[in-house]
Amino acid sequence: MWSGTPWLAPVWSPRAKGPVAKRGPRLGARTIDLVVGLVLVVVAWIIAGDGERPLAAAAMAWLVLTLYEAISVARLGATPGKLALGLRVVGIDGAGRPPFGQAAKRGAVTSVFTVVPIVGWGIWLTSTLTDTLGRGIADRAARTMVVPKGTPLPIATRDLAGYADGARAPRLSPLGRVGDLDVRIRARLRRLLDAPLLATAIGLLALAASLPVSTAVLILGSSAAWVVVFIADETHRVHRTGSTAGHRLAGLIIAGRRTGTPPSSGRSFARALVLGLTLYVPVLWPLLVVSMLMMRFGDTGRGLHDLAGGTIVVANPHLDPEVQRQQAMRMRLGQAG
Amino acid sequence: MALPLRDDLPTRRFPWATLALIVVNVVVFLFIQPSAFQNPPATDDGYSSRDAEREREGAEFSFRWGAVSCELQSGEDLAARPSACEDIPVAPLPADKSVYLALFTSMFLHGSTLHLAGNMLFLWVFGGNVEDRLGRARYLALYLIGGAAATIGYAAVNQGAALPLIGASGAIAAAMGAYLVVHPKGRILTAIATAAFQVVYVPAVVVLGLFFVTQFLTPDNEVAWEAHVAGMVAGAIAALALTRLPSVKRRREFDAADVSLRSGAPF
Repeated sequence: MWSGTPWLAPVWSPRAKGPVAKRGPRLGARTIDLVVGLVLVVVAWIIAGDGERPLAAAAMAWLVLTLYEAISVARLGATPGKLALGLRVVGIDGAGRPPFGQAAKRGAVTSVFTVVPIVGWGIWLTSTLTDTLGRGIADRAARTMVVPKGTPLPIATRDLAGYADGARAPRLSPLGRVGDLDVRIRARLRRLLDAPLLATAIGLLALAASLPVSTAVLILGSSAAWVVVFIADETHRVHRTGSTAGHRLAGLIIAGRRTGTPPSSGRSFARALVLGLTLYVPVLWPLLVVSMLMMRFGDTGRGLHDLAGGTIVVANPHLDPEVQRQQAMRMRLGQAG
Repeated sequence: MALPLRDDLPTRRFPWATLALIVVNVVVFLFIQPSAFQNPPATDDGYSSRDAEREREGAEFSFRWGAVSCELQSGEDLAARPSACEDIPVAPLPADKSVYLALFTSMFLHGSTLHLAGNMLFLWVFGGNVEDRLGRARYLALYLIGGAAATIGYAAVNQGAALPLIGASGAIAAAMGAYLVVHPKGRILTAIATAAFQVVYVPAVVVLGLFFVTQFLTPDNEVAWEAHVAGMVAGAIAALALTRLPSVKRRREFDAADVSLRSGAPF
């Protein structure tokens, strides 16, 4: 288990033990596939391009790469590059080669992020480098995984939770298992599920955009108004229930670090203030990054807002630990809600 | 500004009809519409005769396959200079146009890459669950009829207008109206820029509200909001009627049972 100061953190996550392909061979395989794919794309352009339709050319490249990936994965179990380096693509919960539909989905997503320059490559690389199981955006979309040749199958969803745990033993605090960063981010996305008033506020602030003032004033004004409303709501909610809608879905609670109960209204306000400012004020986003590194790599997973409020986010002690672990995994896989 | 990214309702079946609609729109835009739409010809520096030709091809294509209010009103094409039309533009006008067919062809055309991208994003996010609930054939019918109704609504408000209307947004507004009927409590993961930049699940109603607010405030007047309103109303009414069918009701019961099952059960 890696532990240390957040600013020395490696940029990628430690890899899980278990049937996870290494980065070196995957990079090599990708290089081979890109070279082969490029040749095929150029041939397609020569045959069917007309030189005046740049987007049509990009679409043709996407189609060629998708077919290359889909056919090879569905027929051979991996792309030629992966086969050469002893890797296989497998479906989660499936045995043997992925069926054509699944292979096509994986290939289609991979190819989108191959064809879109810079941004696409960036998303694709960070998605695979930051995942404990090395599953990039295409693997997640198609529910597949890249494994070394000869890995026993099937790989089941319920095992993945175990593999993810194996990458880095769960952090334990006196109050229980510490909430993981990716689960907490996904919980944040669901912040408004039980807050219709906040959702309405977003709509009303959009209406304010029709006021006859300059864009800069509008953006600053509506953002400031939103931060105030958010802080008020978050203070009240966390103080009263020790959770938000997202935290409940993920089986997490926000508790006073020493007491284990929902924080007092003062502490809850301090927490909401730091959270609201770092989340919604762009000049403070560097602090948000620091906060996220602390949540990801700190032993107690406490971000700046947790420090301000003296809180910690841990598994709900009233839930069966196995149920909580599966709730969190479901959130991770995008199946919560 | 609000961009929907996904919704959190599971679908029972893959949304093939929605995907097919997207593929048709994209293929038409990329491979059938003249190259001027995806690669606007130069207007000042380096303006060549080929640029002029491409621009003319683009304009002629819009007038041939786009829906024109006053043509629908009079039943005659612009080249015949019907009296209903005001300010007939100076453009290459096709003479043998089938005026009413354009009601349907116009909804598969897009003016620019951003126009196409925005529309397809909304269609993908909102279409899937409507298709899943209504069934593919009914969903496709709702899409086509909603799109035509949107164009007719636009023509009714802008009588005499002689500019071509293109875009799938009327039909997509119909799908959005239907979404509100079949999933009134649906939640959409949305990137929002009006109330501090954030990405968050918000109720579908709020997304639709933002969608309308955004276009009323668009400075250029190229957004046919009348078509969106008409499409959404038509879609909502059609969906209200369709949800009374026994097979659609049964699907709703299945979905409800599924939700209660999933909410209690681990994996």
